[in-house]
Amino acid sequence: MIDRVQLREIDWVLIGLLLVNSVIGILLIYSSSQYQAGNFYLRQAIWLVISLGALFLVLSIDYKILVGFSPYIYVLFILLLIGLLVFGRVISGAKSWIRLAVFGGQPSELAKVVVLLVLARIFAEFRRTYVSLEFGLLSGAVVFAPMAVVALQPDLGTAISFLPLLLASLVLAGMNRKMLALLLIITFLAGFAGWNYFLKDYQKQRLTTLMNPGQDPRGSGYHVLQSKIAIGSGGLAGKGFKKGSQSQLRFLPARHTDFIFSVLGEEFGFVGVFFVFLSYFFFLARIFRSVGKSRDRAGMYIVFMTACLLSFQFLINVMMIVGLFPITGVPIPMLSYGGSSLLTTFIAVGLVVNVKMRRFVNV
Amino acid sequence: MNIATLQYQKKIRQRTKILALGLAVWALGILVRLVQLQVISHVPLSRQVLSQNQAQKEIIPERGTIYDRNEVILAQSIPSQTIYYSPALAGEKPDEQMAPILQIRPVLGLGPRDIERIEAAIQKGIAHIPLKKKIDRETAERIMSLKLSGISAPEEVMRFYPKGSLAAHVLGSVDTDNKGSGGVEYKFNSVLSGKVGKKLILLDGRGPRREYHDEILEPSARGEDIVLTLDENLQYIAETELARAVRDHDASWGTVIIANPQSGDVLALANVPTFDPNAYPPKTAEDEFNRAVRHLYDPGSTFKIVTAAAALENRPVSRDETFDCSRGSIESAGAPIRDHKNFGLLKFPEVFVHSSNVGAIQIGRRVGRDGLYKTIKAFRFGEKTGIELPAEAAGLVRPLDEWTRRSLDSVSIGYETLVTPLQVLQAINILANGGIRIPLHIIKSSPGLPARVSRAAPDLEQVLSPRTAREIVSILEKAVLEGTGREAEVKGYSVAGKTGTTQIYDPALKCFSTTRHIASFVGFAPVESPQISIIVVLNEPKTDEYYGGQVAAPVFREIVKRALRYLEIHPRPEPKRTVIAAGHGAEEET
Repeated sequence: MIDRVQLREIDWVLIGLLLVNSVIGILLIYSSSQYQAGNFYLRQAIWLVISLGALFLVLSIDYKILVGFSPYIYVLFILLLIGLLVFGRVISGAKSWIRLAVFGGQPSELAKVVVLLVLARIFAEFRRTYVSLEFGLLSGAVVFAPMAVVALQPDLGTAISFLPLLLASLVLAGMNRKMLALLLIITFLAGFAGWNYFLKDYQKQRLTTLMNPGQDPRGSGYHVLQSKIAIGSGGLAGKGFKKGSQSQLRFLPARHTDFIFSVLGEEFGFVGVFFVFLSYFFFLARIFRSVGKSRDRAGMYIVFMTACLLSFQFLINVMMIVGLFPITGVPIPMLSYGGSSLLTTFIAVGLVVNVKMRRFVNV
Repeated sequence: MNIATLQYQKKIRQRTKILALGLAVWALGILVRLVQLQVISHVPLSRQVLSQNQAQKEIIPERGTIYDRNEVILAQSIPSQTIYYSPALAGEKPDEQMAPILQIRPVLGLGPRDIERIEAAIQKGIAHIPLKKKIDRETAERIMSLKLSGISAPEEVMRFYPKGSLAAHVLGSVDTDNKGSGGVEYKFNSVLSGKVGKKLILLDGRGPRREYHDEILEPSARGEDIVLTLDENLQYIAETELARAVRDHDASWGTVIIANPQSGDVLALANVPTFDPNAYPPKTAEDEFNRAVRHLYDPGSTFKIVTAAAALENRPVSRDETFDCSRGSIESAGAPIRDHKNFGLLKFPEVFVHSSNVGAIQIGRRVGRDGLYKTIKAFRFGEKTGIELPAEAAGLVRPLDEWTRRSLDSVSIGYETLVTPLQVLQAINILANGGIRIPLHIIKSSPGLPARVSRAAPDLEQVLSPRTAREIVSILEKAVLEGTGREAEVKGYSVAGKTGTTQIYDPALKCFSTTRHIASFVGFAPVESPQISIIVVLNEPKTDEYYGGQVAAPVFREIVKRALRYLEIHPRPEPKRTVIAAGHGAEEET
């Protein structure tokens, strides 16, 4: 299915940057969890191999075929998520896990890619300069359905990661003022309803402690405070690999998952943080620059939405650990431990490379 | 499919650029925040790292040992363990948190009340609950071998008094913080407790923080030992004899002090009621009250030795002068003071041998206010003896300008002056030492204290002339042989002593009670070379007998008997005795 021309067009730099960041992630996971049981770095390495395989599998199929099949996959995923909600077991506070032998997976992560493909398909048909109301509502419904199910699991962090997909597609399609106003109203209503009916007490507490984490250092503000202490004490140059007292002494919560960036900040200092920012910048900039290089609208949407999804997750996660956003459990793509998250990132990047390599194909 | 037009592509690129730029600005904002945390707030945040994973802890040193004069251990510190429980490590639900408690309950012997206390503490969310304090190592090991989560048994030091309540009032005890409370433990707490050290402990963030490393910053120094002048065996003799007398006479309390008059060493000091310092604090504060040095009372007839000394020092009367006691009472400022019987004419020594109030008052009047007051002060009444025990009472000698018309008479027979038992013992020591006052001590030596002044030191003062002392001693010897103190006689030994029976002043009735008495006896033996001086005080004996000669003198006798045997001072061979004592049975004293 891949001819030689396409093979030459594979964006090896992008895949390289993806791998570099993932390897940095494994190093940080090693540092933050080497003293405890579980061999998380090893598991992540295995996931990396699997994800890389998935990436090449995605490359081998023309994205247009994937876009074409996406509605069926979408329905399948919605059913799967509802099924999990009904039959799933609660693992670390949410019914979001499918367990197969040793490795477990969270379908809600992969659902992001599915939603991305469906949106690409919807917007590929859309040919006007500005989004119409019907289109806005349709795309909104496509995003909100899985989002609501995931929020009920309850996994707020993953749920809000769906939002940038919608926002990105609407931005790209072009929003007029009416549309923007409507979106703001919907967001406000959703926020109101969410606060009053959906958010659990601990989630509300997280939002309020964001305002004043020092108030209750052993309570819910503890995580933010510990994260800030870890990052701040790292200073300019950091404490050195495996030498971060806050992560090694287990003061830092969720060290190898959501708070992996704190470990980076503590052990490699601002220098390390800046390096990762730079590498992220090159990585994301490269994807953004690929938007215009797609052959068709579906391709553009895929690339653009992927860029937005990854940027958004990165920014939210870093904001969370520096105390600018409530702790919602959004992992940082490529760095955080988590197979499903890594696989999702690789598949999404795979789609980008897929779009890019097929830009010269004549149909 | 939709091939993008150039124009459309241009628009798309524009939108992408705007959004990407927005995201980049956003990222820059976060970078600024990171600079703020990592560069500007680096120092305060680094300080917080130290404050949460380091802590300084005190190293409690081992307390010094307290020995008796023969280096028998009276108080020592031994390692012990306290069982603590951290509920958060056992689980989250209340029944999970109670499970380990119920498992070790039989081993620790926890009662239903303990369980209630622990349950309340768990509900309150107390992180570290002491389950049982001061248990022995064996039990602690048995509990730790169960490997229950949340149970810990850190090493601690516990104060142990191997002789139980023996010498409790001298030793005192320690409170839960190992601080001295009462007695020598309190008085010399700083000597005994040593130097508190400091250590640095490093903690990690798991659950209630766990220490994983410690480092000594300042070493602790063990407390200094103290050797007391007490003799364990004499203390035991004093306590058993006192306890028996208090029981037999149903007295409300009693005190016995034994000293070596020549060295000033207090050999025994006992009070009833007493307490066990191992089970501190005692049930009532009363049990802890060291009456020997703190209780103030009117000494009564034992104080007549002062009147006699004043008379002999000032020589207003001759040794052979007789005093008319035939009326059996004497007017004192309008009220009569009586003898318990009619003595007829008494010579000067006989007044004290038979303890006649009428005679003593006549002698007191001859001495006069100034002479009597001077002698009282010479005996150091009204000031602390300086014994190394806390809260010693100074007593009360009425200043001359506050004396009433009656005072001279009252003071002559031992009223209107408040003394402690120890002060009376000090007075008899002065007589036993030929008029020299040798300060009383209860501390023999300690590396943590300056050495005691030797006997040759200049502060040993001659408070009475040796001749006066000798004469009074011979009177007191006679008082034991044929006067009020006959119950104190010990076969084979020469004994000198004075009885005392004080009516207790009733503040409610504003007069002296006729039914409540303090019976006392003070004396020493052997007369030729005094080895022990003893005071016995019994408060409110409720039997028919209440005179000092009936109640206190026998206690003195039994103690002298046992003590001299223990000290290996052998009785002189018994001389042939003629039976002359018959028919003296009714004689008593006031």
